[in-house]
Amino acid sequence: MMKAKKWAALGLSLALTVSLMTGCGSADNVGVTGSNDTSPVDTQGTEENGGTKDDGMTFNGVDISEHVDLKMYLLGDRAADFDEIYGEINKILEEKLNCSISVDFLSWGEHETKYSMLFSSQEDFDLIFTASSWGHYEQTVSLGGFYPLSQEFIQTYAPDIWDVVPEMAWNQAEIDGQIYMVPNYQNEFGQDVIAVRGDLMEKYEISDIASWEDLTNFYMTIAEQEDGMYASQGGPWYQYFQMEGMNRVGGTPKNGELILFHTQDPGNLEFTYALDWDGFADYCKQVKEMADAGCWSRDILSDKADRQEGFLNGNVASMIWNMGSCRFYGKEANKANPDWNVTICDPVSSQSKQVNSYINNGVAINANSNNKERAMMVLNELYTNQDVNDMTRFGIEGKHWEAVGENQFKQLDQSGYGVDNNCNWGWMNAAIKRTEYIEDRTALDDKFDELDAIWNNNVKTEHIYDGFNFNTANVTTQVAAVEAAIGSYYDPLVNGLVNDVDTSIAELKAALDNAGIQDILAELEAQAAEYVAAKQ
Amino acid sequence: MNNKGIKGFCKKLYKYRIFLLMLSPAIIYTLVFSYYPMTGIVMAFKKYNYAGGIWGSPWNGLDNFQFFFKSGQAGTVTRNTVLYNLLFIAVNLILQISVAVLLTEIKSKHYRKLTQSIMFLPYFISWVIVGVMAFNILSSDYGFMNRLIESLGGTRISFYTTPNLWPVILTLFNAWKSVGYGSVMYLAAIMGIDTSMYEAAAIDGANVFQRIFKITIPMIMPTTIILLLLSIGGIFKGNFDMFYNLVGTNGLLYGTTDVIDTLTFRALITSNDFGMSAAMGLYQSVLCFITVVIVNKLVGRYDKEYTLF
Amino acid sequence: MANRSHIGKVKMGPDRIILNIIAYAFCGFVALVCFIPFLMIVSGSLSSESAIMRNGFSLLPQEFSLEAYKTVFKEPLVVVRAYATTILLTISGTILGLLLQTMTAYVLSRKDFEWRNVFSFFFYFTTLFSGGLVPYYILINSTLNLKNNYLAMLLPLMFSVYNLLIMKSYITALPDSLIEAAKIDGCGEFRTLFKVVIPLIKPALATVGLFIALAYWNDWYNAMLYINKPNMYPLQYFLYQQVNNIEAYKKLIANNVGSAVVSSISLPTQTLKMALTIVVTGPIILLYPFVQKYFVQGITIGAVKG
Repeated sequence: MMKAKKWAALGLSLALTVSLMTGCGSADNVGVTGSNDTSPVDTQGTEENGGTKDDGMTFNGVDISEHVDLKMYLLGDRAADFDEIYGEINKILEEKLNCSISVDFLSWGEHETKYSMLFSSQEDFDLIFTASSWGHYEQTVSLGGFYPLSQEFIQTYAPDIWDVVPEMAWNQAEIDGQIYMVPNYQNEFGQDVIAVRGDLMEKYEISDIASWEDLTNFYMTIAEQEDGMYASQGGPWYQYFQMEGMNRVGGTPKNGELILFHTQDPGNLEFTYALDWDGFADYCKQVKEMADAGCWSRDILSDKADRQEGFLNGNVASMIWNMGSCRFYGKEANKANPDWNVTICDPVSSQSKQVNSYINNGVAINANSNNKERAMMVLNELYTNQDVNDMTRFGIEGKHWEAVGENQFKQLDQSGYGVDNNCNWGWMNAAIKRTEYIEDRTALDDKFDELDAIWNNNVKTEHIYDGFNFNTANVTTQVAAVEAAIGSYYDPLVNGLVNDVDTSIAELKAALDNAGIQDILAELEAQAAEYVAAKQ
Repeated sequence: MNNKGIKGFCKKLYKYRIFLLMLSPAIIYTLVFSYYPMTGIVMAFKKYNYAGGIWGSPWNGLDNFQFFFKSGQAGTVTRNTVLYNLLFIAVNLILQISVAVLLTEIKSKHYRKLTQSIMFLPYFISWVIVGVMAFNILSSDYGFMNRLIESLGGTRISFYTTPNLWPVILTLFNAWKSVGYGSVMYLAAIMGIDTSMYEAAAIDGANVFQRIFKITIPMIMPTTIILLLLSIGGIFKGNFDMFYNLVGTNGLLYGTTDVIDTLTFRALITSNDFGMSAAMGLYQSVLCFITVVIVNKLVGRYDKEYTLF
Repeated sequence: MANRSHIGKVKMGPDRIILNIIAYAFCGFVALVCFIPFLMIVSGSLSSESAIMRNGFSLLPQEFSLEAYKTVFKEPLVVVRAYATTILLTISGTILGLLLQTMTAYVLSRKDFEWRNVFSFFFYFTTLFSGGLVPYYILINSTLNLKNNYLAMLLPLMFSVYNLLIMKSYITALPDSLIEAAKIDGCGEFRTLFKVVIPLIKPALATVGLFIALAYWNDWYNAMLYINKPNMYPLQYFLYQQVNNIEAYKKLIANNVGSAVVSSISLPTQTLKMALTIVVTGPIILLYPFVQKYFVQGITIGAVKG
């Protein structure tokens, strides 16, 4: 009797607790991030009659008398002062465009899963950050999530963006004849450099690493002479084909590494399938030699350590990465070990430099959005309005940063917001972008600027395929099969960890043929021909 | 009782009304949270896109299954998945029962409670961290195992390039991680054994080993069989977290370590094709279903009460 | 452990001694193997990040540092709030879930319920086939509208067929005479369940209760999918976020070719992961001895006789 009563009482109180909790959860009350869902001028718009605050307000000839509240999804974490800064931005948006924007975040750990869920569950939002490959651009386009942006649409609702973004960028964003994102505009270079221990270079009288021969020579020297130290963290496949004047074809399997084109030779429209290329076989044999000599650990395929870890520990003599990261970690290494004398070299110095893919950052409009035009206008402000753009990058002037001259900035307070740390890369605009004023310059900074200058003077002439993005819609099965089949062979091959190169390449070829790579190549040729014809 | 037709059925409904009442929360729950989403399986036969959603997207027959068979890896990964599961089931069964039996034989309460609690710890360590630790142990450069081998005078083994060692390695890690959690159920079953049987056995002059093998183990057979059946129900499903974190993207090991789940992951990570991943899920489910029905029937022949359904 | 003192002191035969040796040694060995990695994690969490990066794991802390814990508890109120959320969820979920599963298992174990196999299959089938994440997400998020609702974290874990079938097997193992005796006494089904059956299956209740509690305690997935208000995050998710954000952010940098965005990566990551493991594990390990109390043998004797 007692027990039953006890259970009943327990059950009842639990039910009560549960209903309390659910009550707390569903109401949007003021929590730590209460402001997250209620933008400052939310009530104002809805309480006015019908929401027409300013009759006759227009932007570029378009009527914007109706007040709307937009929603944007960005990737990352909400910084401490984020709401403060976007509050300021909303003031400008209210005045200029009669609207406001609220931002939700998909954190780094969850966007892989949740990005697609936003679309699957038909969530109501307007703008979303996107990027080629890692930012789900091609995926989402093929699943129909983004709204196609016609030239007319862009010109009407975001005329300033149209003026400033180069044609090449729109070309890169184009999939199957339509543009689905507004790409960022940055003149960053898409080629990696090598951060290397200057003291070791001196020790073995290696003056510079400016060519493939220099690179392999350095690696072998370290492997042979330095005990307990590795030369690098893997095989330099990218450097090899870049040296041969080639680059990856966007949108093709294995991140484009399998199918290359001659980017340095605009007249050459041929595609090179790596497995049919004797350059690939030559490369694999060379790296096998290097791996056997001990240039890198035999465990690299399973090693989850970050790229810079081995370098910073002193276990690895060099690190191949983009210029920005090389400078950053190089400076860190030099601070901890001044005798290391880390410097940056360009192992592909013989080739002119390609500007980075513009679709590596961008913003797209949700196909289900109810306010596509206004969203485009807001994007226009974020992209081309100097004040707004600076705010999204650095924070509030005077509190988080201060201007140095016309086009430089200096960071004041890192804790509340952070520089370029708030998923603002989608609207980076090289035309109005401020550069950082570096106070404590080191030799490494000078080397960085030196290389940067050389590169800027050596920009590659455009190749028509630079803007080409392969559309997998007709060969999805083959692409999936290729991605599945390739794992067992490819990574070991390009890192020199196979037993016999020729056998492995033959096996890989056979496997990919079975998976349907020839169909993919045929489809590629067809699409490329169409693409070229359309550009004439 | 042979009440035919609707009248008979209604009579039964009334007869079992209390039972059905007690079952109703669970039934509602299952219908809402399991059967309703299950209808999404149709995605396996559709070319899913956001605009169409699950129901509006166009049908594409068996297309979504093709990539798996064209990859050349279908047989290998299916075989690996099944073999690993069988291996894990067998090893874990023996290990966990042994631990449970031996734990109950330990007289010292403190020692018993302490060891039992400690054995539970690996359950809390996520596979991500285990992967890092495994690398620390097995690395060919500074790994613990290799340092040990060298100090004993042997030559270093490069674990991450030797596929044939991995069935053992994976089984050991899997056993280690689940021994605490898994043995609990057997422990509880042992606790439910009527102690009068032990006394009777003692009076009959049985020694402890006989007692264990003749009484304890047979008495926990029902539990064992249920757990076994439940495990077999997942025999075509691989533990993605474990394989992904321990093996990583090391193609050299795929021949002996790749399972259906990891292969699917790699194939679809770029395209995120929902139809194809649903197809693979269906493939695994159907195979599991067939297996379980067969095994359950076999168990039923032995003793009807041991079956799952 | 069976209380055999009333039999009289039995002399320790050689079989007993051998068994003791085997039992103590084996269990001790297994416990040791389980303990050492955990010890390494504790030590790692108390070491400095650079030492870990250089030397890997070790049994004792290297370059003792509380940096990792400082990072975890940077905002202590947030952590406390996450703890509270998790504890509440765990307690309520476990009790409700245990009730639900025990009641259902009881019905399925009744031999005089001729539809029990049908229903068992009904439940079991759901473990074989699943529609995947997309329909489930739509169900919780849109259909039931449980986004940012505690129920989204409570309901998915409340009922597990796995636990149900285990519970069913325990109840089935009880002698039929018990139920019959109760019926003769005039007990209805509910009374039989609560007054007769439940007291006899304490180990099973403890086991399944433990499993349910652990499922709630460790769950971060449901929070990740359905909750985006930080003040509702359960412990595991809150901690998982901290680690994964750093990890994925660094991967982003690796991919974001050319971008010079590399600030704030001086946060400890390896040690942070380990500190997080300890912070999450600590409390639940303390729960375990409490649960062990119920692993007591020998209750059935009295029940049948009485």
